[in-house]
Parts: sequence; C-alpha cells; structure tokens
Amino acid sequence: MAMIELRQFSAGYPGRDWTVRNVDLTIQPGETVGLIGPNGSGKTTLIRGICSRIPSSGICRLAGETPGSAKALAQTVSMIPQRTSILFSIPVLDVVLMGLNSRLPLLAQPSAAQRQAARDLLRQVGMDGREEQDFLTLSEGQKQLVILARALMQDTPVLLLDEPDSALDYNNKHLLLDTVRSLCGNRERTVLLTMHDVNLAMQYCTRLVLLKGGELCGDLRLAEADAESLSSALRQIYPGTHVIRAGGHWIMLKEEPSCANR
Amino acid sequence: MTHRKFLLPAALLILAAAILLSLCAGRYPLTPADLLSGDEMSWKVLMVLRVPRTIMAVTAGAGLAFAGSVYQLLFRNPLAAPDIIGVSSGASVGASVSILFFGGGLLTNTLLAFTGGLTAVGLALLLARGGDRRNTATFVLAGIAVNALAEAAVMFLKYAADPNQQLAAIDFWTMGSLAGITREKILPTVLCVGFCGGLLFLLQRQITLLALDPDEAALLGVDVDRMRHLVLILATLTVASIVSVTGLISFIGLLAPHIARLLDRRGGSHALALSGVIGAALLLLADCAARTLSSSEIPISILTSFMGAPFLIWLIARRDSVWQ
Repeated sequence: MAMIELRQFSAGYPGRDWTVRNVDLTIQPGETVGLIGPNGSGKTTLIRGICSRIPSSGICRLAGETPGSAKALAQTVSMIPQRTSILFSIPVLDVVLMGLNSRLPLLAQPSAAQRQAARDLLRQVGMDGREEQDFLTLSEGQKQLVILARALMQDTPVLLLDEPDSALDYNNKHLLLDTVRSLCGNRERTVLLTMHDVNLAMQYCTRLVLLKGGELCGDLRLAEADAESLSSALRQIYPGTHVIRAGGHWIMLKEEPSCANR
Repeated sequence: MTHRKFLLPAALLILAAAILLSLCAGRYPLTPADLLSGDEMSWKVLMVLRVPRTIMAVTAGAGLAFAGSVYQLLFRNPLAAPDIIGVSSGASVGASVSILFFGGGLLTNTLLAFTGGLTAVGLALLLARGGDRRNTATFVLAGIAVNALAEAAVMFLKYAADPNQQLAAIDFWTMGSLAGITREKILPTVLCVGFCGGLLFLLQRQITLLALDPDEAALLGVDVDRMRHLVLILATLTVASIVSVTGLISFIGLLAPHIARLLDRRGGSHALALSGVIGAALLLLADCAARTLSSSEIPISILTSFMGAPFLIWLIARRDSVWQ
C-alpha cells in the first residue's frame, strides 16, 4: 500500500488558478523524498494541499485512506513547519506533549508514562536536560529539534518537513537532518521534505521529486541515478548546473560562464 | 522553579485576606467582635450586603481573568482583553437602551445588557465568516468594527438621553459598580461563570493549541474552527453574565493574566487558575477602595484603571516578556 498517493492532484488558494496542477505521485513506506524546485514552484502549496489546509482537487490518499477529520489526519501525518508559531513562554516538555493531542480525548491530560515518553524523545533528539526550559529561550536549531520530537510524539507513519533548513545555519541544518535520518530512516516512517538546497536533498533523501511552475518535471531514485541523468533532470529547474559524485555524495555545481561570455 | 508550587497557595492566602477585608470594610465597618456578639444590624449588613457583594467580586474578578487569559491566547495578542470582540460595548448598548426606554430597572438592565453583549459578539462572528477565518486578525477586525458601531450607538443614545437623570445613569453603568448586588442577583452570574469558566479550565490544553498558527494547530489534530467558536462563546458568556450585572469593569481581564504569567511562565492550567485567583483578589481590593475612599461610592472602573495603566507602562518598559 502506498503511503502517499496523488492522482491528478491540484491545489491552490481561493480566488486563484491552481498553483499546483495534475500531480501524479506515489510514495512508498520508508522512502525519504525530497521535493525540490525554485521559489514559487509550488512546493509548500503541494504540502499544504496534501494536509487539506487549502482547496484541492483530484485524489489524495494517505496510508490508503482519504483524510477525514483533523484528528484522523493528525494520526497519519505530522509536520515540522519552517518556523513554529509558538509565541508565548511554555516549557519544552509541554511542546513535545502537544504531539499527543490527536490521540488524547478532548479533556484528558497526558499520563505519567506519556510524559516519560516525551522525555525519552527529547533525549533522542539531543535535548535532554531542557524539559523545563522555556521554549522561547532556545536557539532556532534547538526549537526545530523540539518540534521534531513533537512530530515523533505524534507517532505518525508520514512525516512532512516544510523547508526545515531555511531558518537554520549550516551546523543546525545537518544536525536536524541527521537526527531525522537516524530516527526515521530505518523504520517504516515515510518522510517528505521540501527544500531549497539541492545538495542537502541529495545527501539526505533517497528520492528527488522536481517541481517547476506547479507541475512535476522529474522523479529520480538516487541509488539508481547517474551523474548524467541527475544533471539533465536538474537543469530543467537549475540551468547551467551539473552534478558530480564526491565523497560518496552527489553534489550539484553551478557551471562557470565560458571565457567568450566574460 | 521551586517557588512555583508556593504561588497558588500564596495567592489563595492573599485572596482569603481580601475576602475578609471585603466582608468588613464599608461605610458600616464590621469587626469579628460585632459578629460574635450577635449584633443584629451587623449580621444583616454582612448577609444582605457584604456576602453577596464579596461573592460577586470574586466571581467577576475570576471570570474576567479567565476570559482575558483565553482571549490573549486565542488572539495571539498579549493586549487582547475581554472586550476585543465587542461583548462589553454591546452590553453598553443594551444597558443604554434599557435606561432610555425601559426605565433602567436592575432586571431590564441585566437582561438587555446580556442580550446586547451576545448580539455584538454574534455580529462580530458573522462578519468574521466573510473574511479569512484562518486568520485571528479577521476576528479582531470584526470586533473593532462592531465596537465602533456599538460606541456610535451609545453616543447617539446618550445624545437622546435626558441629561438630568438618564445620561448620568448610562455613564455610571459604563464605569461599573458592585453596589446594590443582592443574593438574588448573584446566582445567575455565579452559575454561568462557574459552568463556562469550569469548561474553559478543562479545555486549557486545546486553548494552548489554538494559540498556534491555524495550520500548525490543525496538523496537531485540532478542529480549529469549531474549537475556536466554542471557546469564544464560553468566554463571551462568562463576560456577558458579569458585565450585564456589574456594568463595565476595565483592566482586570488584561491585568490578572499578565501578572499570573509573569509569576508562572509555564502557562497552562496552573497559570489560568492563578490568574483567576489574582483577578478575584484585585477586584475585591478595588471594590473595598471604591466603598471606603470617599463618602459616595466610586465607580469601580476608575480604580481598576488606576491600577491597570501604571502596570501597562511598566510592562512596556520590561525587557523579558513572556510573549515573543
């Protein structure tokens, strides 16, 4: 059973034409898929459409089912936004416990066992000892790690990350993505990330899906790809680039302009 | 934060002292000796005047604080007050209509103020439906529009009012007072605030999630539209049931949640309970001052405003806010 299945899927905003059009995409359990494209290509729109946050048409199935209520969706999909919207002082542990909401009855409070599970998750993301710290006092990278712990607390088969690297410096980008890979990579959890940084996507994803002008224009499994196929696919959205293999990773480089053009 | 476990007990002690002061203070001061001696007049003052008034002050202070705390989270705005979507100004219209056209009796004032408050909020919610409901700013704008309409209506009613009696009655109502609170008047308010406040307390976890961006809250499993409407209605009923009896009481709904959060940065149900206790204590102290500082009773919003304004100034000057 596909974990994410899109058939002729379009999504957009009220009063406008579809931003993302006629996407056919199937993602299997355990895949880590990088959705890449230039600004305005529709990456975030596609993610929001999958999460039923904006109008859409076509088929969208998550874990074989069409999302119903917010609670049902939250039991299938968890998301790490670019930046969390928490504006007020709150202990780090309570942020992680927010992930339980879809599995708790309306008026119920987390149990002692669930609080301990939240502490364990904080330890796994490298944030142990900070349970009682005010979330607002954390650095951006630390906040993203706590939000990752919250998403893991939700314990969903699908994890979405919307440009998780955009607000982070070099070290924190790699820390977050290393943590995602180590906690999700070996399990049946399916990860879909939108990213600007193609090199980061090629380092951490098993598959790249390319978006341009709201439409899919490429779908590459990195284990099966070679430099030529990658270069050719990526040139559709990043002209003047080519891909090489170095240090066990694929790296996209911008080609130097020729002497005649200088 | 080991001091945290002492906050609520300390606040409750202060509240108990404020209750004692409220029972004793007034133009007919009471002492334990008077009561123990069985003085009939003292017991009459206590049971007929002081006890209902004190219960009302505790209920109103706690209710306004709960509502203020909820509104600040719901609208992601530390300056959100119970009036942000028009309940107080709507209640003012209702009370003004009652004074102008129905004789201004206590019962008609209460009923029409309650109706006016709920109508104003209903109108604000209807207006908000026409906009981007995901955005809390839509609700705030709708509240501003309804407030403007309601204030225009009150200004017109004041213009049409008899300057000798009705105008003063309208102005007095809009400044709030706990004078004239009797046993019969407190029961509906206590029941409404108890029920709605209790539900808000139980829904604290959901309210904290509603303080997130709607997309983020929805992806954590919150039915944002429904829950937001439910919480707004509960908070509005709380405020309407208070102001319809007491008139407008300013600043308690803003002050008490802020003080609670400054003392307990963790937020959550502990901070909510603390804000209720603080709100009750503040209103009791303001009411004691209202009936003892001068020979005639001072409208309570004058005193709560004198408490609130310096606090706001201090808040602006603070560096380490509990809000980002």
